[in-house]
Amino acid sequence: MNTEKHNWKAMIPLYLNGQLSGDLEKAFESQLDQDKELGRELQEFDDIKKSYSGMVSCLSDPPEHAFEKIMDSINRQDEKVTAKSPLFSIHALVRKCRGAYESFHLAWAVASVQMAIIIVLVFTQIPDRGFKTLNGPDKASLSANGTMINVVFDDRATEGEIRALLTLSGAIIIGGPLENGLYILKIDEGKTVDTVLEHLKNAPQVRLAQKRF
Amino acid sequence: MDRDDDKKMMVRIAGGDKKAFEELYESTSKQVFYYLQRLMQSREGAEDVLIEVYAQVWQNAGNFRGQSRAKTWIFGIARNLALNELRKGGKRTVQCLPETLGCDRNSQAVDAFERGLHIQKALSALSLKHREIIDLVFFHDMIYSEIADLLDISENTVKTRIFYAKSALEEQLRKMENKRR
Repeated sequence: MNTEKHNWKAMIPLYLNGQLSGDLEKAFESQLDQDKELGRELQEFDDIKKSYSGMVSCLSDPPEHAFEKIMDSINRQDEKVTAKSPLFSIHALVRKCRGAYESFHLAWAVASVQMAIIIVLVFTQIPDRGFKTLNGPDKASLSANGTMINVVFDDRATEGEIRALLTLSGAIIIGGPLENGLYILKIDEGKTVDTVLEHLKNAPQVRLAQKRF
Repeated sequence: MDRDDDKKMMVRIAGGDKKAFEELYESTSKQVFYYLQRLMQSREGAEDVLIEVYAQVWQNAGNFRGQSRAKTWIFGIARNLALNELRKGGKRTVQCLPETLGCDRNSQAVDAFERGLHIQKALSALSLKHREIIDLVFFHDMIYSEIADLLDISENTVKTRIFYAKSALEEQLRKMENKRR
């Protein structure tokens, strides 16, 4: 009962503001006919609402120059960011793009283009940029038993070509590059040093290949 | 403007569209400025904060998610900045009250005007929390869900707070009546 009463009371401001739906408004008015306390509360809230009727006349509208001041403030802020950050142009670009991304269709279009680029990159041969991520010197490996070969690769040889050559030759890198560009290779078991050396010497990617003593 | 329109406008602003920003300013600044003046009880203080409010709207338009109306979102920014300013002990003057009765000068209208004036005087003596919720309901005609969003409280708390504010107002009116006697 109390909850029901509380609910009706909570509707008073909405009723006064005309914010109740048609059915609810009728139900509220019907309740109002039966409930004197609700009627009294309504009257008190109505007095409060009416007290606002002359309020606008005593409040000021935003000053005419306010918008100019806002734009000045924004421009100053932008200038500060420009002065502070060389990445400002990127920020501005991101801001533009962020707005564009909010558009559903454009977002799909951009996503499709990105997907197309990824597919092209995956299915076409990406040129080897010649990054050398081959193994660095390893003291343990250097002291390992077995036949080893010193090799200097041609500067123009790519990492992919070197790896392919080593696989075919039956050798692995166990050290290098040293300051002079020297790599130390270990020969796979079952391969003879002469065969590997001959294979390496004939390869255009190799400038020097000799047995390590 | 519905929420979709609000969202579209904010997207334009986030993309750097100054014309959209001006449109938003034209359609909301009056209400925001009224809200600030009532909250801060100072015209000068409200003017300073208004400029900061719209500078932040420009900077943060991209964060608008459309979960509330743009007006409510801007009121939220205005409220935070105004409360910060009040905490710093910013400018504050006496609450303004309606001074003119308009052209309707019969005795009923005079009584209603005086009653209204009395209530507004009592309202200006209430705590900011109570004064604000009455303002939001009866001056800004906000519905409970919007007020809940703005004040970051539940709709039930909104309803309860309205009744607490009304009780506080009645208490203040009684005090003023006793003083007059």
